[in-house]
Amino acid sequence: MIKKRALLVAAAGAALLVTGCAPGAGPSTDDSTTITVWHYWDGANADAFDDAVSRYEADHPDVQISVVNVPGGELLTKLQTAATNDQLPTIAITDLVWVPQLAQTGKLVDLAPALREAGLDQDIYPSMLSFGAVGKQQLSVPVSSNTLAYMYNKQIFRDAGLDPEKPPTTWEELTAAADVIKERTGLPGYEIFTQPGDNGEGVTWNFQVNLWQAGGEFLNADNTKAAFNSPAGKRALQFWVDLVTRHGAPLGPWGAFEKGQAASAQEGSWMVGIWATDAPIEFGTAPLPIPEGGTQATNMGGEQAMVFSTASAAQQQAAIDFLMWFDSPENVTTWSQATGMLPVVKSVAESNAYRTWVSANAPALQPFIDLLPSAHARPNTPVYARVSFAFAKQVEQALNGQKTVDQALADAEAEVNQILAEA
Amino acid sequence: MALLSLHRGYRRRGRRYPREEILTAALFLTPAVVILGAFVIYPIGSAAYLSLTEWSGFGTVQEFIGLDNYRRLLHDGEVGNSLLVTVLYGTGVTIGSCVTGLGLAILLDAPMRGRTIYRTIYFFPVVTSAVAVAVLWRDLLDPAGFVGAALERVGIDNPNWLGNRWLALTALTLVTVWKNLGFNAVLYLTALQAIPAGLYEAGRLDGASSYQLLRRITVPLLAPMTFFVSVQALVTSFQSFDLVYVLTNGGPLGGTDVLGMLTYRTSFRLGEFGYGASIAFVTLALVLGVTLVQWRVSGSGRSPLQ
Amino acid sequence: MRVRAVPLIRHLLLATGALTIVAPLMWMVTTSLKPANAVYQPPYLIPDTFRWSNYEQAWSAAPFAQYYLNTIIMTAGIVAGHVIFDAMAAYAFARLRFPFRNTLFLILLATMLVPQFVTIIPAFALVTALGWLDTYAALIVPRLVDVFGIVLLRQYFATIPVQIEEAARLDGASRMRIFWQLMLPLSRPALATLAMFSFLFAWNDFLWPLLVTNSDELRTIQIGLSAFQGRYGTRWNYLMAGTVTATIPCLVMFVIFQRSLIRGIALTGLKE
Repeated sequence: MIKKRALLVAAAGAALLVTGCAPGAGPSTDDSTTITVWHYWDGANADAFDDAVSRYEADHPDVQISVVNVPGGELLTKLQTAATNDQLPTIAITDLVWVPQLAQTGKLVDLAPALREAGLDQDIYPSMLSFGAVGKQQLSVPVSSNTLAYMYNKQIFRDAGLDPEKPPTTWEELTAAADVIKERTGLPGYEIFTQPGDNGEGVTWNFQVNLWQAGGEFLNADNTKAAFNSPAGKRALQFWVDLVTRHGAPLGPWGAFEKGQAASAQEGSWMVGIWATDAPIEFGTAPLPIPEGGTQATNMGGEQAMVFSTASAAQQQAAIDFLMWFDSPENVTTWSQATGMLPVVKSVAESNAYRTWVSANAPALQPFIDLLPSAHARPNTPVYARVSFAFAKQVEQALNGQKTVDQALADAEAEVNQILAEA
Repeated sequence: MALLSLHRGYRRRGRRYPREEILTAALFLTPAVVILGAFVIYPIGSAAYLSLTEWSGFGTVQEFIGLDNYRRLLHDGEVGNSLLVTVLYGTGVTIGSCVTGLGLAILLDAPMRGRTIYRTIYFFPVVTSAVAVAVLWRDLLDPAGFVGAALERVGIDNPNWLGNRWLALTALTLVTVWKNLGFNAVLYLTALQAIPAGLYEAGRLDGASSYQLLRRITVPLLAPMTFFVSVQALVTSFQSFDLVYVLTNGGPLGGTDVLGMLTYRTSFRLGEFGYGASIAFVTLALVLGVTLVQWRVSGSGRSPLQ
Repeated sequence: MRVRAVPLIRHLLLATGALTIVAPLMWMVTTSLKPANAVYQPPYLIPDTFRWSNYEQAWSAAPFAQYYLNTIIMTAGIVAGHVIFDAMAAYAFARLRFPFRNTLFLILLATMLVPQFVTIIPAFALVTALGWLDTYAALIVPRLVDVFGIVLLRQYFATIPVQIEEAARLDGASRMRIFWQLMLPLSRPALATLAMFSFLFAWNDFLWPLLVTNSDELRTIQIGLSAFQGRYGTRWNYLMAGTVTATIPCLVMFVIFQRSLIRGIALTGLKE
């Protein structure tokens, strides 16, 4: 009796294993013309990418591209588990901030020769290329870009008696406008990131804009020491603290502006694409307000593509070819127009054709494009997440009045230096 | 075969187990041992080793550093904060679960119309995923959300639920209690129904008030169930991750940075897998400790009735 | 306890409490029917726009039909595994005597306290080594057994009088037969409870399926839903629509198994 039952259980187990081992739709490494791409785009962006892939496949019938979308939060985790288990795709398209971490795997293919051959090394914005540059090698190429600019709610401006076509251009004008808006409408005039989340980025990357505008730097040139504990840093942090304590910026989760509950914020160019249809508010975009005596600056985000050396030679070549095509001016134009992302190559961003398209279809995008030349790149160190988080926590404490500006910056410097020293 | 087992029989001297029974046990246990051994126990062992190393998750080198991670967390302010938050959260959820669970159970413990409907409604959050619940409440508690609008209509200022560290912890605790309310009530309900009605009658004859009946009869007799509910609540809150991650992501100011959240962030966001693993094991030790203490304090779960 | 409170007060309290349950759920449904730009505006609880197209959009944003199928298969496998294998192990712990029985049980108990993401990477490595990535095996086999079920059922088995079994054994029944034809049928409430909780666990699981599947052919509902929380913003109305669709089966399951479930919770919770 026991034997019979045991046999049944074993049979069930075997059946499971058999169905389990049936080939799924994973990447086939022995088929040299199939490559896989992992990305985290969703919605319209994902559709636009699928469209680009179809167009490429139509012109290159010997290449098959299998696209996998991994929900934003977990792409890094998935890549990490894949990396340690030899399950990497051919191409990964990730947030540019992750490139240094992925480079640690030692499995990124050098794309410099291909870029030179395609002439793209001159055409892509240098600050975007800097992220994937390790020594003489280029380990990633940008495929999309975004910047931060000033976005504001025209209706709230009107309600406060301010001219909706004349947004503030300096920090001083901004705080003055915020005071007026708060007084006349009860709503905050400006929103900033006040919570670090789980990797600091919201706070840090927004703050860096003001830091750079004031003439400061975040880390030193070779990413070994913090550089933000400077007069410029203090000025920028004081600006933020004042926004909260004196000019009504709300302490809470991000999103007040996007929900129509704050008059303005430093927002990314992706919002223009998202609000192209069904915008919840009547909004305007403008260059970022700068401090007196400061310079214009913005932060640069976007996605970069990497090719993994775990793929076969043929797959690698196919992947490289695809990426060079993707960054060619022709596709960059189509891609940018479909997604509202900023072009990664100067020949498109500065062309008249693109400009004309923008003013006809997405005029709100123009300030973001104008800021591209003054876009700074974040430090490309593999421990950037820890640095950013440590920094953001100190900023949060300063904003909540738990530390003075000097104290917060000093503590942040100490922590960040320690992290960088261990790296 | 049956004759054999009868023959070897139920005679046990010291530690001699009948071979038949051991073989049978082996058979019954094999699937569990194989699956759990491979996919739970081995990974735990692997994670234990990981806690003795330093690994970025991407780098190819897993450097062995002995007990350095454990030494580090003894001095880490973030870990200390996380411990405090987790203890407060666990205590709040436990007390909240017992009180609201019992309260709801008492309300439901009477023959009345709509009893099943109520029970069903109160159980809805239990069967909804933690992520969905968190997404829901994150939006409800947003300054622009429904809770604010509702409070304002009654003339109360909407507190900065998700912007103040203590309010956020309170909100997290309340949401957790809310989610499990139906489950706890059902547990208490069944325990209530085991209390002999005669006890209450006797009490009333002696002139006891409802409150006295509650305090002297009900609550003491519910001790084993209270223990069970407390353990459930405590273990859940120590392990809680999904709900916290989506609702507050550990903030603000680390106000909801429970140990589960800290572990996850340390490993998967900040790329310190060895350190994260050591935090996980410290959490495990703590939970075991607390459960043991609870066991002792409640008299090992024995009911005063027996 | 028979509270002497007026039934009206009782109803009032219960109804108020029920409102705190129903209101958020109403909000979820109402949001799911709004256009994107109205999500943060009144009305909040009772929909005044009925954009059913949100449901259609949410559904077609990804191959949700396939996701549903995959989730059902995965859940069915896990529930079946739990009910059968957990019960087998629970029976061994409850009724059989073997060396190290208590030690083994305590070890298993302790593993319940370790969160999933601690064990997930080595488990992933093992699954990869077995070649199970992107297959149903990866979704089901590692979760065929869970400790919660073993503990639950062991408690329950312990409450079944030994005499019943002894009588069967005297009649010559083997342990296996006793297990299948006696213990299991007698344990319906507990098994229903376990089935319900296993169902909920499997249905709502996100991280593991995300890691072990790449292709749409194998993905599950939760993965599909999380795509609505994109990198650059959440599409609330679609997310809510998708969540409502994903939650309904859970609610239906609960309503169907209510009686058994509640009895099961009761009967296993009481004995410690």
